Amino acid sequence: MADDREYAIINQRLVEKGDKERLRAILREQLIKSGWRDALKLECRRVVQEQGLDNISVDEIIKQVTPHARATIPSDVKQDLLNRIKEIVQNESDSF
Amino acid sequence: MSAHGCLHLNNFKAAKGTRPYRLIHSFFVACTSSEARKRKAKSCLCHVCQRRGPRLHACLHCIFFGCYGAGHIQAHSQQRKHFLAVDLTYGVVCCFQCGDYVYDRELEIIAQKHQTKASLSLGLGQVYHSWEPSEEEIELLKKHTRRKKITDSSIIGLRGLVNLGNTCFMNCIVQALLKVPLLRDFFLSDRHICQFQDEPGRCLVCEISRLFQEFYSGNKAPLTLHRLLHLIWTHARHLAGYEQQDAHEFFIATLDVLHRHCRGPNEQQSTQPQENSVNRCTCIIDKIFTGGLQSDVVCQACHGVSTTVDPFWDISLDLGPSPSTKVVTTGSGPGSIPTSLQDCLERFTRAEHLGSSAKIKCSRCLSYQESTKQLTMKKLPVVASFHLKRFEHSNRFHKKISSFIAFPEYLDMSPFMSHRRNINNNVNSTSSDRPDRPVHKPLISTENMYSLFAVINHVGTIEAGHYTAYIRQHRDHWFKCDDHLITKADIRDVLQSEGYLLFYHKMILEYE
Repeated sequence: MADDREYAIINQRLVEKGDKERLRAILREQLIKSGWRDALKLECRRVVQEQGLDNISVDEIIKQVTPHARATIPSDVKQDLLNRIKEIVQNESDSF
Repeated sequence: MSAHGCLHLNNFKAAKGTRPYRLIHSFFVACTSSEARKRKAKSCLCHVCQRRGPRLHACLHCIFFGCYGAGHIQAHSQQRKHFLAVDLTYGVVCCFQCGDYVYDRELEIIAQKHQTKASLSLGLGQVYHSWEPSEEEIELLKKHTRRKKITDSSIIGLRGLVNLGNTCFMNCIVQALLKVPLLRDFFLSDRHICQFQDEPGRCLVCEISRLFQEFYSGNKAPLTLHRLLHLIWTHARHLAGYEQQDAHEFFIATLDVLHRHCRGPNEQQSTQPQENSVNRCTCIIDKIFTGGLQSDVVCQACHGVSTTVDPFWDISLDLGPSPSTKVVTTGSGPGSIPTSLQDCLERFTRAEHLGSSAKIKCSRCLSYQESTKQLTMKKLPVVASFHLKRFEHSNRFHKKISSFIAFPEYLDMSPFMSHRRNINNNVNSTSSDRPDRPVHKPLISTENMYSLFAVINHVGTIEAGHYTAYIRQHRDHWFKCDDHLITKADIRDVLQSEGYLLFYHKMILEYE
């Protein structure tokens, strides 16, 4: 397992080369395609309606939807992202 | 989140302008240069705990990064009375006096600009921004409060079409066309500007626009397409009359008339030659249906290649045994009969020997030589239309080929792309496609994927037959349209059907 330092190095490289943005774009697209984003939107709307527009804050919404949102990310999307990151890290370490 | 902006942020902007936000955003949220990316990579750490988050924020008043998750930015704000901070993941501004994130139109516009620039600098293409109603549209929305909601079981968008006597060829094409999402969005958002203002009832595009309105009106009674039929008779004379027509011919004629009627005065004047783009026309029909077909003719004497790219609206595929001319690429050998759409496409894009009777003057060695010709996909259309040539016409006989051709629900066109196909043939391409520096593989591997959304079937013989269509609704509900009758269908029925015209839609669209 990667320790904190390695983790930081990998993150730094991903940001520097723009790969992180690319991965984010892909992830975003996959989550939209899977319907995850729409479902989450509905969930957020439900929370806002329940609490009333005047008594709600972003923090509150985040607190309420995060556990469910995290749990419903399709596992193939996670796997795919992991594979892509592995591939990039692999290519990076080859070129040293 | 207050929808009315934030007093504190407004005061801040009045005192210091938007520059602080601009700087933070372009360096640490959406990096607009590689320099900025380097900085972001190095310095995006919480100044208190040295971590990258969760939810790292930058103070808008001074140089301070703190994470929100562990409360470090909040602590900073309290201590220094710096009440505004930018979230570094999304670029939104948090006001600690309001106790929430705040909207600000001016900053949003800046953020959008940076994001577009950042995305382009990484070769990701234009970022998509969801639709926002204009002032005028907001007024309209307020006036008309009834909303149509589309549920999974909704059948809005489906309508039977009355057969006017042998007009099933038209009905099935209309059913398929009305299921093209981009076309639907175009027409339902009223984007067509008619060029026949003085001659009402002459424009085919207006008629299609009206049909979309009818299909999505919620009315369930079958429609009569007499106006459409009349317009086609007027504009495509070879289809006039009450005889049976070929659905494929009707499809192409319809696209052609639509394309002609779509061209506004602007498009006709723009005659600047564009060498890179396959289609110069930017009408909605060309945007959706036009692809580019690359033709490589290779001289057998000097191996010089002459390449041309032509636009296409559909691909007609042979089903019979391949002609006995020798083929260059190995694969399923010559003479074999295709059994699937992929077989047909493989054959379509295979290098073909033109034979000794068809010598072509080579532009390189300037002599008439035997050559091979290969067709490949240079540019894929949004909607790929395949025509299985089931009707065989020759001098002696006309017959229908009813053999089963398997076609998939999801189709990958990558193997038939020009760059893929040609690499197989170019012998000395080792240096060109193997650069020393490992270029990033395209991360999006699904870019050439298509999904089936309509199938047109012909039942009966070549003399007397009937057309029906299978169409897809809401992602994965299938219906069979048989003139005025619409029945639920299963994807298995669709994939088992004979198939005459197959319509595929690109799964991932690039924004232009």
